[in-house]
Amino acid sequence: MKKSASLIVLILFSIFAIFPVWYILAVSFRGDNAFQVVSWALWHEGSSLDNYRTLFTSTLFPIWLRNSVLVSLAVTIIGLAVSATAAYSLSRFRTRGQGMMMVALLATQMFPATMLLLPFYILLAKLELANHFGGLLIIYTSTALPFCIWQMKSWFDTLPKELEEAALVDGCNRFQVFYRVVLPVSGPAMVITGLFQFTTAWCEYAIAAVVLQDPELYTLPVGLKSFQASMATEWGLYAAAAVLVSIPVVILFTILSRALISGLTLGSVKG
Amino acid sequence: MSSVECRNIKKDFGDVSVLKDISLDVKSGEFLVLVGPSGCGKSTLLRTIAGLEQPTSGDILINGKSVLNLEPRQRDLAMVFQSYALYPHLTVHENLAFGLRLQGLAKAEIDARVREVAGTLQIEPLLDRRPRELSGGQRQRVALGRALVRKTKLILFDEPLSNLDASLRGQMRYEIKRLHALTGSTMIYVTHDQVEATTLGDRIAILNGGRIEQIATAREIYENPVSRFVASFIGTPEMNFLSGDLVGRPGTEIGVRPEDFILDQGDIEARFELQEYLGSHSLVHATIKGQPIRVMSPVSLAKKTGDTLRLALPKEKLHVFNRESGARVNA
Repeated sequence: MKKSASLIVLILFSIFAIFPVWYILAVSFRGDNAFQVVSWALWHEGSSLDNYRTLFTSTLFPIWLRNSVLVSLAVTIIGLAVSATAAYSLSRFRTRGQGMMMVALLATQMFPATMLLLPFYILLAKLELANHFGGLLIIYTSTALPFCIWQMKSWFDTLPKELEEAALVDGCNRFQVFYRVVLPVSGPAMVITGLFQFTTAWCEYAIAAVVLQDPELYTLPVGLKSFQASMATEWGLYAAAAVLVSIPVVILFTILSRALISGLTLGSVKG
Repeated sequence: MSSVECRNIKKDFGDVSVLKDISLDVKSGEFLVLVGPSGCGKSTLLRTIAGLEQPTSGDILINGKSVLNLEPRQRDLAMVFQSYALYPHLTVHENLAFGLRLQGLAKAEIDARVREVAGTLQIEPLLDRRPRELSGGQRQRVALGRALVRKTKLILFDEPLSNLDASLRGQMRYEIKRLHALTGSTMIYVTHDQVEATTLGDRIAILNGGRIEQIATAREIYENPVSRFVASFIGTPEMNFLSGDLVGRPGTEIGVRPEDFILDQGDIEARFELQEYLGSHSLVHATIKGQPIRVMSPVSLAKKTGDTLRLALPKEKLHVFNRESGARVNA
C-alpha cells in the first residue's frame, strides 16, 4: 500500500517534471508556431525538422553556440584552477584571519547577482571589457568562486593528511603533492565543482544580456531571447534552440555522474 | 645505514608542550623502538625526525649533519604510516614505483626494483591491483614495500601494525625483523604495544609525558626499570606494587613481577581470591593485608576464595621505588 502510494506520487511528479521538456520538444517540430495548443502528441500533422534547419542556416545560432561553449569551458577551467588551489591552501595551511576569510567568501553569496549588475557593468566599462568575453569571464568566475572554494575545501578537509605526508617523504615537493596525489584523488569534487561552473555559465542570462551588446558575441541564452520580438515570437525556433541548448548539459551530467560515485579514496588508508 | 641524533628536542603545540628536551642517539643499523602510552609524544618525535614537524627548539642530525632545514624528501628516509597511506589512484606497482619515478630512475631499473621488493614481500600477484582491492595485511605489505624499494638508509615506522589483527601482527612483526636483518637499515619504530617493543627493538626508549624515561635493551628495562612508570609499562601481567611498609621500607613502594613470587614457600601469607587459567600457566589473584596482587603459577592451584596462600619474595627480585617521585631506589 505504502509502496504503491509512493509510486503514484513519483509518477505524478515525474510527469510534472517531464511535461515541459516533452512539450518544448513537440513545439520545436511544429511549423505553425502554435505555442498555445495543448497536446500530448510529439509529432503532429505538418511537423518537421525545419526549425532546426532554419536555426543552423538562417540565424546566428551556430555562432552563439560556439560563444557559449568557449565561455563555459573557459569559466570551468579557470574556475577549477583557482578554486582548487585556493581551497587547498585554505584547507592545509593555517594563516591569520583564515576564519574571517571563509566567512567573507560565504557572505558574498548573499548578494543576488542581479543586484551587482550595475556595479559590474561600471567596472567593466572602466576596464574597457564591456561587450567583451573577458568581462563575462571575470564576472562568471568571480561570482562562482566562493561557492566552489567552499565546496573544494570541504573535500580537501576530508582527505587523509597521511597521503600527502607519504608523498612528501617519498620525494615530492608541496606542488608535486598537490598535482600528483591530491588532484588525482579529487575527481568527484572536481566534477561537481566543474559542472556547477559550466552550467552556471551555460545557462546565465541576466549578466550576459547586460555585458554583451553585439549579437555576434551573444551566448545562447541571450541569443534565444532575441527570437522573442515585441510583435511576434518565433516559438518553433525558440523551442528548437532550447532543446539544443539542453543537450550538452544533459550529456555532461550523464557521463560525469559516473565519476561522482564516491569511494575513490577507499583502501588508501585504514578501514 | 644512517645514525640519528636528537639534541634537546622541544616541541610545543600552542601552550601544550609535547616534547620536553629529548636527547637520543640511534646508532647506524640499529632498530630502536619508541614506546609509551597515548599522548606521550612518540609519534611527534618520529614525525620531527621525518621532517613532517619542525621542533620548537633543538637539533636533529642524520649521519652527523643537521637536517633541520631540509625537507622530508631531502633527508633520505622512508616512512611507514599507521593508516598505510597508499595512493588510492595508483596500482600497487605504481605505488611502489612512485618514489623511484620522482628520483628519475630509468623505467627498467624501476621495474626491476619493484619486482625485487614485491618478491621479498610476496606481493607479486598484487602488482596490478589498486589499494581498495587489498586486505589490511596486503595493504600493510605494500606500505612496507614502498618504504623498502627506495633503499633508504633510515626507515621510520609509525605504529604500522596497530590496524591488523593479532595473528597478522605476529606475522608482520617477524617480517619486519627479517627485513631489518636483510637490509641493515637503521629503523626507528613507534608503538604502544610492549610486545612489539620488546620483540623488535635492539633498544627501547620509553617515553612518558614528553620525556624519555629509560632507553636500554628490553632485558635491561625488564630487569632494572629506572622508575615505577617503566616497571609498570613493560611486563605482562603488570608488576605488582605493594607498600614498602610490608618489608620494613617506609616511604617506598615495592615492585614484584607476578612471575617472581615463589609459591608455597616463605612466610608471607596471602588470601587467595581467584585464578585465571591461561593454558601454559594460571594467573592467581590474591591480597596481602588487603593489597591486591597477581601471582603467576605454573599449575592451577586447588584452592578456593579465602584460602591462605604462602609466598616467598626473593630479595634480588624486588624493585624498590620512591613513593613520591617513582624513581628506583635500589640498584
